[in-house]
Amino acid sequence: MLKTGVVQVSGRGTSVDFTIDDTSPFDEVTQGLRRYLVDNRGLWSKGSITVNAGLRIASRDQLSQLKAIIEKESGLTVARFWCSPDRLDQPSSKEPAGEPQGQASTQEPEHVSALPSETAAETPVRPRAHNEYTLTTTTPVTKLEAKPKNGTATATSALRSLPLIPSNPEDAREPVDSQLDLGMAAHLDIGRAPNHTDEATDPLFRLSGRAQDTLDAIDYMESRRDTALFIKSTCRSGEIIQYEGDVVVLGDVNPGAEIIAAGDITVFGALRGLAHAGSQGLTKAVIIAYRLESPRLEIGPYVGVAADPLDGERIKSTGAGPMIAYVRRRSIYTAAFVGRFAKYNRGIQYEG
Amino acid sequence: MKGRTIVITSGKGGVGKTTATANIGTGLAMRGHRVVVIDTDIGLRNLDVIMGLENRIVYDLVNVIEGSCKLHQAMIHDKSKHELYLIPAAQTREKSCIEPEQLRELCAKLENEFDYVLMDCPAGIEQGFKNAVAAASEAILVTTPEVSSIRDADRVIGLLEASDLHRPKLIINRINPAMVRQGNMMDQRDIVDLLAVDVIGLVPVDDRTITAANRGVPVVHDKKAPAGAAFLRIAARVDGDEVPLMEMEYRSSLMSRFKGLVGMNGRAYSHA
Repeated sequence: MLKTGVVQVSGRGTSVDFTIDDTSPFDEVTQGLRRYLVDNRGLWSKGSITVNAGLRIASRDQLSQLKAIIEKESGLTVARFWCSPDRLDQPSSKEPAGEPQGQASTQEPEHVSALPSETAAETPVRPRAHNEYTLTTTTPVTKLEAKPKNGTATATSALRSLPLIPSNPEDAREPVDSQLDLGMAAHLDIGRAPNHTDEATDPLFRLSGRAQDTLDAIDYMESRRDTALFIKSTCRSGEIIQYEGDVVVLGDVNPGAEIIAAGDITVFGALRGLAHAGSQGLTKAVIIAYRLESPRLEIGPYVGVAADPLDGERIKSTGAGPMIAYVRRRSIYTAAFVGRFAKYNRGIQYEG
Repeated sequence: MKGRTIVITSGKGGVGKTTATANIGTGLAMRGHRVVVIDTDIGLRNLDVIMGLENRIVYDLVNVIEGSCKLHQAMIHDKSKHELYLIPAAQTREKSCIEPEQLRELCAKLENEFDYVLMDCPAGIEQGFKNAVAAASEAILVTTPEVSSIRDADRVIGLLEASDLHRPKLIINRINPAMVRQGNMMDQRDIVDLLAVDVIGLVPVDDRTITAANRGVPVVHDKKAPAGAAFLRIAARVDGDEVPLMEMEYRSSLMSRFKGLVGMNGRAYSHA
């Protein structure tokens, strides 16, 4: 890693990250950046880069300014910006809203958690989209059209329908006028590092179609205000987690812990504590857990109590493998989780 | 080199915190370290009884913190002649009469002089617990294989993490091998699965623990007692030695021993 006070540049494989210090004033940043680029002019070849703006942000003007500096002084092309979504100036403008942040792992934990729910809560679908994106060399858009639209939402009514609104391939392939917009697509290929240095224009072209879709998705999510809280540890007895959005727990939720989320709850370990999804009345919210052993589940206004276990037995998960709990006919049902868009009609009622 | 301050806690009462403190402290002293054990259970002191030092108490922890005696006046040298000292709790005072900050200062002072500062934490999660935890830099959690004690342990782990004592080490105390074998007692795997912390030792239930406590000689002195041997191994692990959790099958009858020989015994319980 090279260091110049306000601007840090790190390279990993073919991708280069510009990390801009969060605290220093903006003009200092621009000066530092320019000086750095000029000093190291020999280092840069053609290619596209990612600019990691961290927690700072920053109006669109400022981002454009940064982009202009980098492109002018280095000959690199700025493909995207990373920044923390909740620091963006105005979420109502749809462009920079909800940009996924990649670098925030070095920032405060809250911001790490604040990934858009799209990435976190809907993992079953996301990876496929990733693959489609990387495998397709020209038009990923056509593939995305295969995703359910709002019209076919009946199939998924137990779940929220995926907010990917397929766009007209014509529109989508039009290069988006400001490349800042491409920031939306940044998270699609984290860790994949497409070969930017070789083809400076091609990846951008490919991104643009996807970016349009993602914009729509973000627009949708913005209206729902949902971002996910990502908890990497075990939730222990006595802990209460309350969040206005989706909650993802990587560890277990132990007896005596409570998770109250306005959106969905996903637990990768065993859910043995109380879980209340859709706490503000969203009955479409679901609870997904690798082991569903909770004595009580709540979704929206509905409460499900686990059947009384046999004498001396503990509550056991109603099925092997991940389970989903959802609301149907004013009761909470559980079924084996078989995917984001599966029909969940034959669940077992979660009631004593 | 600076010493380590370790709090021994559990949440639930009566699971063996005090016994564990006395035995690990003695075990570490037997390994040649300079150890001081502090009873922070003000108002309900009993570490001194377990160690057989109750008749020698002149000054106590509260006296030290209030400055009415010198630190060395309150430290009682253990009978075993190892480098082991006890700072007893006050019996006539309350837990609220000391502040976390004061205990932290005291421990910082002791760390300069001793290799290990062990604190016996009171049961519960109130003031006494907060005092002890604030002063410690490591934690050992004692639990028994009972649901109530495990639930409390889970809560305590959460509280320890909240005060920056990450990854406490777990002692599972009073394991009854016979009951585990019959499936009537939670197995260590179930407990570890739920609590998600590292086990530092498994202590079998042992009558000699009680007789030793009554006599005021920690069971760790009794090399033949299974619990004593277990505590000695725990002391070694605290000390940084790589002592594997001992593989010991819970067999009693001749028949099962035979089955074990021919490999029909099913699962073997690891045990330390």
